Amino acid sequence: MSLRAAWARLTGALRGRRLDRDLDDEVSFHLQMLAEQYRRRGMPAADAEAAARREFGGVTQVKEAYRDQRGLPLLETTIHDARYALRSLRRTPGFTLAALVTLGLGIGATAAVFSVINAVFLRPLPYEQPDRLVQFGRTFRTTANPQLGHTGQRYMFHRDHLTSVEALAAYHGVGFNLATGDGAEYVQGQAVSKEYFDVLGVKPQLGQFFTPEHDVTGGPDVVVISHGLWQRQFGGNPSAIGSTVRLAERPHTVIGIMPPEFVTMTSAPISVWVPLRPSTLGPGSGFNYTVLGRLKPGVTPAQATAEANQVFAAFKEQFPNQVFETESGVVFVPYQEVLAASVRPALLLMLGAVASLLLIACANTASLLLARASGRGREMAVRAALGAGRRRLIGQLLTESVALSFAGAVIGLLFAWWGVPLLLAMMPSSYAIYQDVRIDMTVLAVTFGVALATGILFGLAPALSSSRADLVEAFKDDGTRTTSGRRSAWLRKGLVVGEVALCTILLIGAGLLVRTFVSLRAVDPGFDSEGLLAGRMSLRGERYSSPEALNAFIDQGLERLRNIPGVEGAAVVSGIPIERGLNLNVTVLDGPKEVVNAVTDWRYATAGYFEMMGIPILRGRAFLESDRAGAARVAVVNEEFGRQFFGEVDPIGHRIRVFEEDGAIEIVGVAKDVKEGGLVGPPVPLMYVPVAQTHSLVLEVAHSYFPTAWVVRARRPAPQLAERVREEIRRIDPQQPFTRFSTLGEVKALQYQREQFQMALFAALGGVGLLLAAAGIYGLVSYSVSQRTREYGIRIALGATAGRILRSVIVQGGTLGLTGVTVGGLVAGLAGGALKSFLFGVTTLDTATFTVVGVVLVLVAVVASLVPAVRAVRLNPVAALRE
Amino acid sequence: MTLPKSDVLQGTLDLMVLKTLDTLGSMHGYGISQRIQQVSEATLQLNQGTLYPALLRLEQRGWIASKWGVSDNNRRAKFYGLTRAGRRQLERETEGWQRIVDVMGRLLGEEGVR
Repeated sequence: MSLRAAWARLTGALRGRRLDRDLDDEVSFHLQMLAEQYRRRGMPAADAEAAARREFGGVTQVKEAYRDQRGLPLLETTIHDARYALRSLRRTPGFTLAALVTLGLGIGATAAVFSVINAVFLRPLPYEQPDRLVQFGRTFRTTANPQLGHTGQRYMFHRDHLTSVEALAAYHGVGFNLATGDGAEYVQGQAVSKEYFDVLGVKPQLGQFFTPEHDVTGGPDVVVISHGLWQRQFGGNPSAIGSTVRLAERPHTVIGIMPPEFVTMTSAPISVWVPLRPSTLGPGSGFNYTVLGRLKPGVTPAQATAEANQVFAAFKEQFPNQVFETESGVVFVPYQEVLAASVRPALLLMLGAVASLLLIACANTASLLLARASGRGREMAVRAALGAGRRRLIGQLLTESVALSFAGAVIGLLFAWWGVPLLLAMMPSSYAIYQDVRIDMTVLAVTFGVALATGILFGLAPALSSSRADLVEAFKDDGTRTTSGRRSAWLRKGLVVGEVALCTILLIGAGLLVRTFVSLRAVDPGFDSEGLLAGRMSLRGERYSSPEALNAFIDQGLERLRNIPGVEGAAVVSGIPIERGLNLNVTVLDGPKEVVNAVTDWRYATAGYFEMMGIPILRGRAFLESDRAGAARVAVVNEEFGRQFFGEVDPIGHRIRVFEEDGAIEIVGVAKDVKEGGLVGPPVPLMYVPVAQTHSLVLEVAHSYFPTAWVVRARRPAPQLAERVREEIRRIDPQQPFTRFSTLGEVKALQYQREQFQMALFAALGGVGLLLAAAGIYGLVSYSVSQRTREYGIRIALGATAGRILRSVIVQGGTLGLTGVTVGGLVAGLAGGALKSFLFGVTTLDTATFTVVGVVLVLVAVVASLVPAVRAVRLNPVAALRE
Repeated sequence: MTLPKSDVLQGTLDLMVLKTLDTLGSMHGYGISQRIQQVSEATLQLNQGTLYPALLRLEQRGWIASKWGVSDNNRRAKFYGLTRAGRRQLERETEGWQRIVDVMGRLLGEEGVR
């Protein structure tokens, strides 16, 4: 069809009625002229008209042919069917409501989860040509995932030798106390190399970014600030450029301001950027640089990786002792992929759960449609008799189900719009979701696409079975018992069994996740987490870099805190348990094994720390007030330290050393292991030293990267206590802010936040699925009872007891339930491996979970059959037989 | 011989309409159908009604254009006329028919001679 003709048809479809009227006029003119012709030949008027009509041919056929020609028949039919569908849905409000709620829940949940998936995987990152952004990683023979941290040496070597990237930037996170008007505020920042801004493709709102002169060791202290900070500190005044801000007590000159729309892919917003000054010292001496690159146009990540590996080979030759045995090479991974990687398994899990719910909703709706269809046998038969082909009937029925589905999608989107913020609030903070989660065009499009597919899916079976109407049968008796009835009954049973199976799978998943959560919560963290509040602060900077200043501050602070009413104890530690801490190299001076520069975790703590935290000292002693500067150097180590470095020998009395320049330290106590870096990792060696005896070098490193914590034990509500603690410390030093407070209970709970969320999600979806499955069973058993009233009537008349009738009906429902549970259980057992990485403390074939879920579902099936069963029992046999 | 009504192909009806409008200028549907009947000397008896969907199709393709007017006997009727594109199409189709007629003629003519 030519374009012109297509356009003509489109306009024709819209002006349909007008064109029809025109045709009427034309036809009547034509007939009049023909009749006149016959009259002129002498025929009487009536005969002339009849002859005219005969000569003309069938007017109706002409009109039909004309209508098909003038417009877009397919479109018009669909619109017509849709209108009819909406009318007929309005006539059966009960069915429509049930179907809409079911579909709304299923499609809404899917839309909500999809909007998260969209934000993480699909929406391009908010940078210039984001598909050319790649992150640099190191690959190992021993693990599948690349490591993303690099040393300064490696970064600089690759930066200088790679040609397939336009720019290669390095950065790491850093926090500062920013001096504000009357105090200080802790801000998140990044130390970035000069290429950082080119890599991300961002231009300054005002001022400039770092030049090569800024980004070298010994360069000037400059800073680029965020738009938000500019507004807060400078009121948006352009004179901010060139003025000074104090970061960790050092003045920095502001040289540039970021545009307002710039965001970093980090969990906290970044307020300041300082030059990285890449080197092999400081953070550059460890694997602390994150390296990001921008590919040259036309270069693929694979090509860049290949070149990078050649460069790496050269690096290995030049610096063989800086490369680990197990390292196999380097890799460039698209940045968005890296960001999404940590949360991908969890999102796929959510998607799987939500898809199951959607399938359950489909099965339920299909079942409802089948039930409704069995009452429309006569209508279908009439349509067929009037000339509708099978295809036309199926088309009409599918239009109905798709219309229903779209309406369900609209309701679902309302659910999703309301539910997405709720979902985000419940999601663990460790889910790396950096972009806005919202219902945008993509989500809308996909939702309606899903609705279309859903509508066809649940509408197909009923459409196929309804359109197969046997005309003769349909017109007999009441037209509701078509021969397709038997087939549709089996179909419905299959659907309900399917629903129950899916529900079983969901609930088994929920059960396993519940047990996982419970197991995690029961893990002993190694300390008493009740009633403890920790306030973190960054001691980075000049003021507390000397042990004397630090200890004076701590002594004053602890005294004040211990005087707060209700406080039972207070201590300071350089890193609370479970969270990451500093690690150092330790050498054992007189142990049974050779231990030189071994890695150990390290903390400083005040006297009374162990007692307050409830960490048992297994052998020897804890710190005393007498362990001060000038007294004998002491340390307490944990069990793992002893196991790794001393084997069977008791570490107490032996001496260790942390630095070349430092003195020897005697081990005076062994403490029980506490969990470090999470609740489920293997124990790591850990040594504690009294804060009064730390070396200034160690303090500088510790304070630069890890917050120090003030821990208080009290029987007071946390928020009030936190305010009080904040107040007391502010009185000593107003320039030293706390970054955040949390109870140790919260710190522990953070470790199983993911598991808690996943459990809650599965439980919620499983619960909804259970309701739907119960409704499905109820509907089917109800229908079956109503179909068999005559049979029950006869049985009652012949003396069947209430018990037998009840049993008979309940068995129907129970069988459906049992079959579904068996199928679902089998599938869950076979496919359980998929869930393995999410579980802890429970296997994928946990008997208890399977059994409980099975029993619950069968019980629910029985209960759902109870109402129809009671109805069957109460049948009046006389009335039933008369039906 | 009278051709059965249903055997008049769609394409030939189009050509007949175009030629009629070309020869006799603007006409209404009744007139066109009368003219076709007249010329074929009643050997072609199509259902006159089938003309109208055909006219619509030709109009959709831009080969004819329609306008409401007044007939000879003062009645309101829709008049159809050939467009420039329609005239070009008429030439093309006439040419096509002519070629078929020549080929068939030669073919059948030869046989006739034998």
